[in-house]
Amino acid sequence: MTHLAGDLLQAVALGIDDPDATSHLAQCEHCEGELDTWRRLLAQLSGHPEPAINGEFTAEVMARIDDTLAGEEAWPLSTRVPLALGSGFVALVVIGALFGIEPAAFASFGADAARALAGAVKLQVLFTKLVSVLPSEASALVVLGQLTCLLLVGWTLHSLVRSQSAAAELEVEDARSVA
Amino acid sequence: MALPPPAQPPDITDESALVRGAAQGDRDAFAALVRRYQRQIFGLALRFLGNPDPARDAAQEIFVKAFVAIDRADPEREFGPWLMTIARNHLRDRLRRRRVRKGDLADTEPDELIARLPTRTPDIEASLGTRQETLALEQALQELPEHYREVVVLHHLQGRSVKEIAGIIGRPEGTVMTWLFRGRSKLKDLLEAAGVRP
Repeated sequence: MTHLAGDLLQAVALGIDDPDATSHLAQCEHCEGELDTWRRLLAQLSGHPEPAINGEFTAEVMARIDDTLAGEEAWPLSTRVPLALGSGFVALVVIGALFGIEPAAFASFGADAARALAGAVKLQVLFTKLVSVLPSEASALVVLGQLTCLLLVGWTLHSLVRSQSAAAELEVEDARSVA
Repeated sequence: MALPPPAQPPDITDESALVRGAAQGDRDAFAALVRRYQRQIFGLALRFLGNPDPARDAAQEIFVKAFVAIDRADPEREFGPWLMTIARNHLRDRLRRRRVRKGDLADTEPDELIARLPTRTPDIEASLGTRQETLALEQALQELPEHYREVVVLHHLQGRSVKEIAGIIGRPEGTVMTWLFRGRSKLKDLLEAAGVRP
């Protein structure tokens, strides 16, 4: 006699009705025994206790919450926001230096420079908002994101410098050819 | 043999008031939520981490995270699944950090990872009592692959529905049901291999 598959016995033990399985179980002691095993396992699982938790667990949680809140107060928004803004602009200057952008070059960019700087300011506003909603422990993440975005701004400015230089060189060559 | 009734869900009306109170800064309301869920969270942490001390520490961290984010909990919905989602993410992060620290565990399969976790029987015994079948079942649970163990614990020990578990672990209900089926089968095999007849 072929016995019932384990999955089918499990399903029957879970209460799923299967007429073929029922008729087989009525005449097969082996499968009836397996079904009993499944039922006992399910009962044992349902009655399995959650581990006891000793001591003043709740008091310890509340103490840790107090510590966390105290940490937030030691690193309040009034400190975090200016710091995030300041570090952003410092990062912009450093990135500008890394890409070889002279401060004087900004003057020649005109509307493009204004757009780039407006973008940088928008980024700063976004980071300021982020810093205000994230816990202080996420500050490193914010600074990392800030640096990444500022790298993009730096790269944009770098591209502007290159295109300005190329345009200037073309103008010089045109002037030479005319002369 | 009749199955025992599943664990009763908490009184959601009362719980809504507690969540609202906690979101408004009522510490007593949050402490009541901690008392209500501490055993479930500790139980989940113990089964993830395998040792009572880190599990207790992780359970406390989970409640701190929940407190910080409590204003994002919907008071109209049951608090348990929301808390369990935080707990699960936190515990997985802790496991991941532990794997990174150990270096050699970064790409291990759940089976291998469980096999490398420290033996927990004496600690578990202290927490659960000494009934032989309880210990045998706990040991078998520890030997289950992590994803099977998680759904079996949430469903059978903590009374979460398949739908709730799907929401907590971010998987389709069909996957949860499949893992439950396979997890129970493996659990039965493990118990039988250990010479324990359920």
